Amino acid sequence: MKKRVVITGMGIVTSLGAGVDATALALKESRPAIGTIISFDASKHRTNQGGEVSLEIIESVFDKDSKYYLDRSSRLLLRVCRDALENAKLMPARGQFIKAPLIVGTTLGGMLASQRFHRAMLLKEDINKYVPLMRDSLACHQPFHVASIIGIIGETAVLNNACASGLSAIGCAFERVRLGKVAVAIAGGYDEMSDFTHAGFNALQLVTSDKCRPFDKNRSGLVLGEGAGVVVIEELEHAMKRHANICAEIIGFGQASDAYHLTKPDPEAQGAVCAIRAAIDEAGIVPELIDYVNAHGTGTPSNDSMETKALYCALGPYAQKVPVSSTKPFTGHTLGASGAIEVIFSAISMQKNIIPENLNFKTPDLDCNLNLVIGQSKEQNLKNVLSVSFGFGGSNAAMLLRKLSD
Amino acid sequence: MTKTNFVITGVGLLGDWGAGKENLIRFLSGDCSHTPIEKVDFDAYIDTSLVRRADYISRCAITAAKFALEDAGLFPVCKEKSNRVGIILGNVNGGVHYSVEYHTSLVIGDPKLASPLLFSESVANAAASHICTTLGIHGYSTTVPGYCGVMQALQFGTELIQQGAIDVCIIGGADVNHDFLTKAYGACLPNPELITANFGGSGFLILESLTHAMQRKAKIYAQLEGVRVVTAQYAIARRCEVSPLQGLLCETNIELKDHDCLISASYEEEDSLKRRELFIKAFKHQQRIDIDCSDSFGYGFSAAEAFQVILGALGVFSSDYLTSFKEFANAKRCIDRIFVMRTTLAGANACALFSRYSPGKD
Repeated sequence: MKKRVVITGMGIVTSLGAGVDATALALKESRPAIGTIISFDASKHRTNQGGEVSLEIIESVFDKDSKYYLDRSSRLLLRVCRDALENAKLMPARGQFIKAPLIVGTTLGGMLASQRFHRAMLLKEDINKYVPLMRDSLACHQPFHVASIIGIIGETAVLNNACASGLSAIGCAFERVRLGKVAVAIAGGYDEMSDFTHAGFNALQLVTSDKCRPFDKNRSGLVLGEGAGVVVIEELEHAMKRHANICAEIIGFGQASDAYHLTKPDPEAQGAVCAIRAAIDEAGIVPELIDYVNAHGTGTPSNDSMETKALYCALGPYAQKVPVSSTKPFTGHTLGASGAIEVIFSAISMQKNIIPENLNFKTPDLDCNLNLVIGQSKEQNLKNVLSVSFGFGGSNAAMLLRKLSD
Repeated sequence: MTKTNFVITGVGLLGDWGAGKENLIRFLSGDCSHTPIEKVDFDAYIDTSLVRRADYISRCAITAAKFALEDAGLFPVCKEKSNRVGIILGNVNGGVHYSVEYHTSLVIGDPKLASPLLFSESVANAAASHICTTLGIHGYSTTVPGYCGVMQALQFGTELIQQGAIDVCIIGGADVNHDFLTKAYGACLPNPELITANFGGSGFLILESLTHAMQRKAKIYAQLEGVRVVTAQYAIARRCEVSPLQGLLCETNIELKDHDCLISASYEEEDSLKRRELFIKAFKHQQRIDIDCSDSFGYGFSAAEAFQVILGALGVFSSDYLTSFKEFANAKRCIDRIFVMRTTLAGANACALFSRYSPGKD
């Protein structure tokens, strides 16, 4: 018998701020946080706009006793892990431990650190100065540091599925709890902004010099962001026994590959359809019971038309009716963190009965004929929400959340 | 929940010592020449026109994955069942050749002229993506960065099959060396002279349920009894009594017995070595055959880990794979069970147990 799985804690940091309350307010008030990038010189690129986490938040995260160098990624992850565990009332006291796997997704977490080391090598600086940076820059070190500082005992794992990484990690943790292997798991995603990534997306001509306009006829690309989101996932019975606050139930997850191209989505959307159908099948519901779709919606021409096709194939004619919005214009595309952040956005939407607005939308596109939430956020009682993430390498993931009734 | 029995039905290997199982035996007995991965003629193994621009790591991984599928009788992948096949790749350093070239162009060139190709090949899941595209795999695909990434991949693979998400999982590891890594690790880690022995390659194995393997009459190398990954440095592992070996024994309800074989590898640093000693204390009453392959596969990271895991699976199938190890030569017997254990950097610890498959025992 598979277990029922719930989210009992959430931690989130984006350019909107830190914490569920700040995030919920910004989503409700349709208040994005995109500005001029200050952490590196982006002036030579097609855009210098991005969704950076405020320096105040980054610098507030430290551990005075830590023997590890905490790079930007580690700080983002540490902050959201602490917040999620505190929110779930499972934060161990100093010197104590919590036994749970920590499964996180990232695309280029730690890149700033290895970049600095390599830069020193190229410019013939003293590399010894940057040894701690290099040693701690590999993606597997960040969750290890965080687990060591907080006192999480178990397995730390990193999954890399490009922009679907965060959702994949939550899906993996969900399935582990569902199979009864563990009662509690901590999962999410994180990614930092870096000139490495910014220059790469510019070179691929995927960023826009305009605003990010998902599903708009004149959409011309994405805006990058950074952030982290982590959820505490728990077996329902376990959560109820300890009277935990239940944010949402996870009822289905699916993942599939395009096997098409490294950076372009399959225009036929076969992988995306498989992933969405698998999530719906696992949830055991009909598409008509889905009240809102938190779309991947990057604002690139190819993603948004592919995604529309995927929703039509997977949901049938109901795809035209179900409210859809992409929340990427609020924070920028946070890459490996986005899937996790959007699961949290979806849970917040259900808690607050608010569907966030699909910002910056002006001109309808026949290729993206969806029931977009435009003009302002929409108040609606939400029972089931679908969140989808797609990424480079043809990674596709989908998750269905349900509001748990009293 | 019904217990699923897992089996290994195919392996594929490519290292700087050559390709395939026979060359692995020659390599382990010290009877082979080394060709740097960059000089391997991939045209001999795969259609390189499909991956003309791919980094070495992707070429290595595609080759080894294809070998594994061929060995399992699953190549070419049946189109109708391609969404029931998944791939999980363990990896530490990613597409390092292109990442370094790309970043160099940013630092000493014009960032506006940065190559989109180099950037996209730098993404850590590029190799897994190329495997999907070239071999036609539409099921679950992911990359697991980490020092025990292959064993984690093995663990995730068992879970995916158990859930019913896929029927077959291609699991492996790949890493390639680069001058940057030699310098970087040389500056960061103890015993930098060992880094020069770093080499790369890729190894894959095919995991499926016993039921699925029997339905398609597959050859079975080994049964995977279980796999366990634990992250903890020595002080915490000792204080909290966490051990991947003990965890595995508890989970599988298996007891250690005489002549169990342990194939271990520990990173050459104090914490990893102390964790190894801590964990293998579980063997205190048993006479085990102890093979330390830390030196055999060097610092090839995920490639080395994949070779170690494959050696565990092949070792219970045929003693030919173990005879070059003096510990086994002294033992002079067939091996029924092999524990593969790793203790390495960042508190990574993992243990997997392979047993000889006997038809009818299940």
